[in-house]
Amino acid sequence: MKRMSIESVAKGFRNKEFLPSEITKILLKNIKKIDSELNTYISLFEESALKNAILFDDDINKGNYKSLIHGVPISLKDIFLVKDELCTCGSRMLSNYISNYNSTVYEKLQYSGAVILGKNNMDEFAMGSSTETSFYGPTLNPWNKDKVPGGSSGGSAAAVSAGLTIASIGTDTGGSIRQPASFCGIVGFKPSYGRISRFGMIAFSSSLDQAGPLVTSVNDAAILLDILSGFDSKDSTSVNLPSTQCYKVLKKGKFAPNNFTLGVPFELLGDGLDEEIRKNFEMLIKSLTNVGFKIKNISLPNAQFAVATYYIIAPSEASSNLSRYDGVRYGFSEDSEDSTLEEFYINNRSKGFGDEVKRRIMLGTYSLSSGYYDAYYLKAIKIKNMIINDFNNAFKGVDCVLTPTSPELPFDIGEKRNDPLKMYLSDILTIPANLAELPSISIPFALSMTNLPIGLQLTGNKLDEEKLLKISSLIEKEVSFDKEP
Amino acid sequence: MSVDKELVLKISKLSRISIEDDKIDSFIKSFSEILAYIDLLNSASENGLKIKEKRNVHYSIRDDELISKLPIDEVLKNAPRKDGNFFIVKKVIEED
Repeated sequence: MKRMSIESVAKGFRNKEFLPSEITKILLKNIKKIDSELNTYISLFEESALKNAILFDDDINKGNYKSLIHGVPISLKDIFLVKDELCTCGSRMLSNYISNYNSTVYEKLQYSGAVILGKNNMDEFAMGSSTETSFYGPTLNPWNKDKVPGGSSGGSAAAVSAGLTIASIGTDTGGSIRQPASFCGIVGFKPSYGRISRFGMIAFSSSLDQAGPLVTSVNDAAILLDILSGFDSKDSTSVNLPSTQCYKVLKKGKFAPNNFTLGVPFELLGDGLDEEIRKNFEMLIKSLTNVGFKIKNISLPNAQFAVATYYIIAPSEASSNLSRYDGVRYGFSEDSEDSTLEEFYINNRSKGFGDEVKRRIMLGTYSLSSGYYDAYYLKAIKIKNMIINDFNNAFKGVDCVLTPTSPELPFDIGEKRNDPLKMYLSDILTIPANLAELPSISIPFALSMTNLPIGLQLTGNKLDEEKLLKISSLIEKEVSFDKEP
Repeated sequence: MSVDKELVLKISKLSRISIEDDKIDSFIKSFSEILAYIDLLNSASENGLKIKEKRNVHYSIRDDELISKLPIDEVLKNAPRKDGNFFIVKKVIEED
């Protein structure tokens, strides 16, 4: 089966070409065939997916459609709780954790009639840019199995890319949806902070975390945003606005390139950028100008501090969020008669967490510790505000900001495992949108000489996902990237 | 800021995490590099810092109403050690 989008599956259902159970069976068969090697899933809901798909066959036959995703197989990053199912978050710490309740993301998908296929592999607690920190082994990039798929939503990206699910929901704290989407040649969309409820989504850095779709088209991203967005009283950071209606707007198509001005922060595209990515990006800018987009050079003077700011804020919040894993109420727990309470905590946390998680908890503990708080955390919050200010100024003159998604092509498995700082710098172009709470999307637009995908990142103004998706849809048509691994 | 073994051990104690002896050197190395990189922030000009912290109007707190909670047996489902309606925690009171 050639890879399919949500839109094409929904159309197939409506034209009576196939049924949910048939699509589900094909995907499960593909997973069994190639996932032992790619390792994109941590758990597979084979039985319940088939059972639900057969139930939905009846609805589809009768023409009772709950939504565009009714009967469509979708997977979730293993960070979203699904009641009575394992939720590992890629960690040994939660290798035996059975969810007590449902995440809002899962409930919305279920309510809309999606067939949930299973849970995708990820970097441990979403901390990583390569999916190599997973306790369940690395995921391989379907384009080249010696390369990483990006991270932390690498299992989701690789599964969508390889046709092992129609779409997946991931999370993005510093680029964890967009960078793997770029590495795997698919579309990855992080909406504005607060747009999609985080209830039942395991917390990493609460002022930055946001859920979003990994899909094969901009229209699919719009379909899932419309379904997943909307106020949720169970998440205090959920924005109090109704669900978006972006898909309808995209379908109407009443917009053209000459309606939009695109800003490019050329100052950020300096030494660290791969030459092949630069060439392809510059060629793209030319062709976008030719079709009528206005291009403007913009300045984001404080974006150069984004990675340093992020590596204070995110670990600080992680050190607090992950203090709950102590082996008392759930999670990895070993006890010996003669240990003290403190020894018990230390033993469980030391055996339950992997090295990268430990490093970030310790970095955060250090930034927040007595004598350092003002110099680190407070300073970082100030610079976060300066970056927000930079974007506000830029959006006075442009409709969205354009850069490559990643400064480099997918790298080799193992290449950066022992060099955390180098790994952190992979997110240099994606982190600013998280700090500024902005919607940001990665779209595949070219292939390297070595046959690896290159992604384009578009960042829009806060809560204006609609305009961002309009521009993305126009650019998607222009680049018409239709390659599959 | 120089990072030495003493500092790493202090932070690991505060974090309730122990680092294996054979990994301490690589932790010291990565910590030094990361903190050196973070020092980049000292070159950020704070001239533009008179930004008023504008609270986003889109966030709201919920009404003060009784909401249903998870039943106790559900809460205790993943407990490694439990007794009736309680989690068992290690003894924290010293004996004489």
